Amino acid sequence: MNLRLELTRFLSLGYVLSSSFMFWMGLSLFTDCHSPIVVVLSGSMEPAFQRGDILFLWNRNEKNNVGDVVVYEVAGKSIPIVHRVLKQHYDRSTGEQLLLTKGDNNNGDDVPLYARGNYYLNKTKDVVGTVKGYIPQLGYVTIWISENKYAKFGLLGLLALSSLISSED
Amino acid sequence: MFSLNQRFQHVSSLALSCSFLVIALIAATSWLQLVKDNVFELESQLSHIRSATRFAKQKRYGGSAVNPTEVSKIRFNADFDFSRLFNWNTKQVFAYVTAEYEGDENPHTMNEITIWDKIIPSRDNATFTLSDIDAKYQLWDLESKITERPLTFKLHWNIQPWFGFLINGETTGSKTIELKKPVDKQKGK
Repeated sequence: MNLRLELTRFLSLGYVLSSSFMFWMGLSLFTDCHSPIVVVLSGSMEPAFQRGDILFLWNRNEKNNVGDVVVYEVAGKSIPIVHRVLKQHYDRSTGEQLLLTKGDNNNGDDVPLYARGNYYLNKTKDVVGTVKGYIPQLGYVTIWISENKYAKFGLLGLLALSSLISSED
Repeated sequence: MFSLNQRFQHVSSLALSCSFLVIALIAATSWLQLVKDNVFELESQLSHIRSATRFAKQKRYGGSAVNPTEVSKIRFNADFDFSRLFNWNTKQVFAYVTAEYEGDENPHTMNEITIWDKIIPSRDNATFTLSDIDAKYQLWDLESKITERPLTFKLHWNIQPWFGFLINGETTGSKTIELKKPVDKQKGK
């Protein structure tokens, strides 16, 4: 057991963690969006987006156009929703914008998903970001890990095993 | 010196950066192809737009028993060819017709409402000659009136890529009309 070696290892671990945290926060600042990269969790936008697709968001736009795909969060519901803007009403004097959204694969619009008594979303309050970029399927790993307990333990086991192996050389 | 672990890390990081390079190339070349095909000035024809307007008292339409909202159903003809939007990086094209208009009681508002949309999955089905079709969505405003002001109808498109950026555009053929006042007896109160 070499104390210096262990400390160096600890330091490099800290370096990896802090640099990924800084990357995420930097991206978050740059896009003005609290989660600039999201994974699609539902099939309501098929065939455009499937479960597991990765989306890159941008939130520095003042207003959205009809046809934009936005990610929004409804107060009191934890899961963000990715749907397309169907209607928009923008007030140039106050800068406020009301949006109505709909999933491409759904029959009706999103009013039943909104907070009780709301018939529109508020751009500044509810919208997390507008989808700008797309990579298919790569995010399925995160869904798999979060929904399958064997995958979770398997991954932990693999990590433990690799740390054992690497400490031998 | 070179453990299995190191080799694995090296290979996987190389594979990752190569695949990202390929993705970037695909996205960039498909964008260039779109510019070359001049898709940002695609033509379309919207014609014979007509409407039937009723009064709605439901809260969903922003209406009430005392002050019902005008809700219009549209029928229209459309003629367009979106096959040039398809290349090696096009997964689907989302075509949609919107109505754009300024506010009346509140002149600061700008509004845009989808009345019809269509998911086009392949180049083979990208040419449309629609005559006398029903709009998918009804038209109503935050204000109680939608008729008797100029509405600009326009056909837009949105390319969903296999990799990279979502691209939006609109076609050149737009049509501005005013919807007719409802010939109605039961305008509340």
